[in-house]
Amino acid sequence: MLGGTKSRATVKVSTSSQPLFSTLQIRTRQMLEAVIDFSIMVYLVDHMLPKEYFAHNLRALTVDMAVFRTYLAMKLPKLSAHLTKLQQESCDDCNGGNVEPPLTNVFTMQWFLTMFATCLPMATVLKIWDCVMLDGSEILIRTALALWTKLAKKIIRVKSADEFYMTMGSLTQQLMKGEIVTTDELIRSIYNMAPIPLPKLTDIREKFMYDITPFSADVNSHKSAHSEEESADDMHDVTKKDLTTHHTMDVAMLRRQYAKLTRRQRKASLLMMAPVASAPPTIVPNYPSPVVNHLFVGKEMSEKKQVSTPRSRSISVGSQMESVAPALSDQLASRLDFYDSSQQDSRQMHRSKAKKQKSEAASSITEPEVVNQEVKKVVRQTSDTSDEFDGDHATLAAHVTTMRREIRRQHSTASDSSSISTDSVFTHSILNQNGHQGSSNSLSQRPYSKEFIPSMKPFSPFPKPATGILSAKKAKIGVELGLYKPESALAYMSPAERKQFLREGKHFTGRMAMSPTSSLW
Amino acid sequence: MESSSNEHIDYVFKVVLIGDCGVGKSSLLLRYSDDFFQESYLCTIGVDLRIRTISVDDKRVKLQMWDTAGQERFKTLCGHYYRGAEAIIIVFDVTSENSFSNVLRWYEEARQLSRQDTVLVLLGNKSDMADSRAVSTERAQSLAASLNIAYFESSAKLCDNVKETFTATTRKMMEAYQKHHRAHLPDDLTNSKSLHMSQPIKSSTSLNCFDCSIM
Repeated sequence: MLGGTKSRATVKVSTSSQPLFSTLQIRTRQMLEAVIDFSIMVYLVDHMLPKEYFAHNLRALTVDMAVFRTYLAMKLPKLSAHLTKLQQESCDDCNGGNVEPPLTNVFTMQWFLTMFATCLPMATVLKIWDCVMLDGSEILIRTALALWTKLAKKIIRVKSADEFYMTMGSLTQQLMKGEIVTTDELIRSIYNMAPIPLPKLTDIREKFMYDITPFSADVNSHKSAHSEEESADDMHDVTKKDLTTHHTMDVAMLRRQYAKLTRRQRKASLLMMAPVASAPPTIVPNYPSPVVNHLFVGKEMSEKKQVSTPRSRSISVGSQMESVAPALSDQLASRLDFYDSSQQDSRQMHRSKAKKQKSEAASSITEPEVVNQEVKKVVRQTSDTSDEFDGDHATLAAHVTTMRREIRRQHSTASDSSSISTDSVFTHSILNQNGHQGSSNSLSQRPYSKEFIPSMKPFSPFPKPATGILSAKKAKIGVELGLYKPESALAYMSPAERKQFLREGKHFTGRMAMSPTSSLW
Repeated sequence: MESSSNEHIDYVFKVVLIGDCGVGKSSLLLRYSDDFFQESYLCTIGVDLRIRTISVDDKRVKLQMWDTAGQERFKTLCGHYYRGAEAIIIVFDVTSENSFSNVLRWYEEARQLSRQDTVLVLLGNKSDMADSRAVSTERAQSLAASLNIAYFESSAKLCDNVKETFTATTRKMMEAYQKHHRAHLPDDLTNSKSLHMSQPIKSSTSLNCFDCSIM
């Protein structure tokens, strides 16, 4: 998305005949920023969202849309009833009793799938992503609820489904401009609406998991799947199904799920190393710009990539990396220097991701050595210190397989010292933390790192919400971001941690109250 | 553009555009509703809606045009929108053999999920790219004839035949509606029961073209 537009701009520059390195450098920086935004999104999709949100049938998304409607009915019963009425009227009006999908679906679908990136200002989106990092995917539901609460006053006045869509057309535009709700207001209502996790969230999600069977791509089975979702829409009618059918389904489901997990793991490592599918064409001038859906760097794209830029693939496959020619290693080293310096210039840049990006870029570059040398020269002049990474490069040249670990180690330590200056820094640091292979990171729920334990229960893509108290670390970061009150963080810290936290002299004005007593439901 | 804020609307029709990824569904709608063409490709997420009010044969018709995502994964979610549609436009790319061979699949899907009287239309987009053309007009026409549906060819980029296609489709919808109406409600022509089609609708905003999503 964001990455896409900026990358495309870069294509134009690099295809122009003049190889202006200073321009290139600026362009590269812009690109890296876009890449960072994009890789945060990739991380969130891979680690924080329910597992089948982007799977071929969007099952978990369908479930979450139904879950959202349930909460909407609880929180805004008037609006929900009004929308249902409009929906039904619209159905009756059509000849032959047609089915109008729930009116909110169009918007909820986009909001959830793009994590609000296409409907709210970027600053707000980054804040929300921070919240998703802290409290998981239920933030999406909370945000949607908060937005509908804001829109309710205007929506309640519409008299037909048609008018609803008309009104929403202008309202979504206002939302994008940030005219309807400010970031602070939104975050406050996200946290104040109910204690975390949302009441009964697991139960409701599970219920809809049972009610909504996996959709089949087969056209013939479509109708039955649809009707099941309809029954799911009626939340008062909890259909208790025969348990035995679940069990027979389980084995096949588990098997499929297991295969998917393995695939996913492979894909994720590919994604982590090659965050943007369109990166190679931005640097290799003659490569035709592919049609990239930045949200779904999925099967098709990775296959294309493998054909066009085989090296970018070999990065993720350790064994193949051993055979990379020394010449390439040189190229790598010089490229890395180049990227390092551009990194040094902008401190807000997320380092580990930048490294990954640059290693990917480096591996796909097929420019003459002369050009590389020149880049190196220009870079040396502009940069003050890049010794920090020099030792690393030798390692890279010799043992490319150790590259990933090494880079992450270096950069996560480097980023620890960087100050928190932007809204999105938190998300950056989380990305770093993820780089630690064995770190016990309570913040991220990493679906594929967990051991897969077969059970008789049907596989649920939704991670279990963290129960009990906030972890100290999470609370601390929450306070730093101004999402939690300092007291709530201190309460969950060990005495030593508390001491250190206070010594660091970070006086945050917790704007938002974690109100464990608020009982909307 | 063509409508004032509170005018009388004779018909409200839902039109759904379906077809493979990247054939130009969104571009067609963008061209038709905003008269604008975007070179860069942005994938539609789920469904997108555009509204335009036009005049056809002295009737004011409000077109609710649903732009669906071509990706396989959205099929089920988008399928729900076929049912209420008065017309479904199956779009393919005349430079892509693959998108043409998938037309049959889309057709079957549309037939299964839509009503009996839904107007189906086949539309070959990107007719401006004559050099890389892969599907000849004759082939497309014969396919459309075998399916007993109308065929149009357009170019969203050059704004060629886009308006004409939608106008012709609207005319077909009006015919189908009147036919259906006569068949099912012989003595109820002016009754408000058929209000979805004939109820005067006051637009609350002056916007008659909008993009409800940004993507």
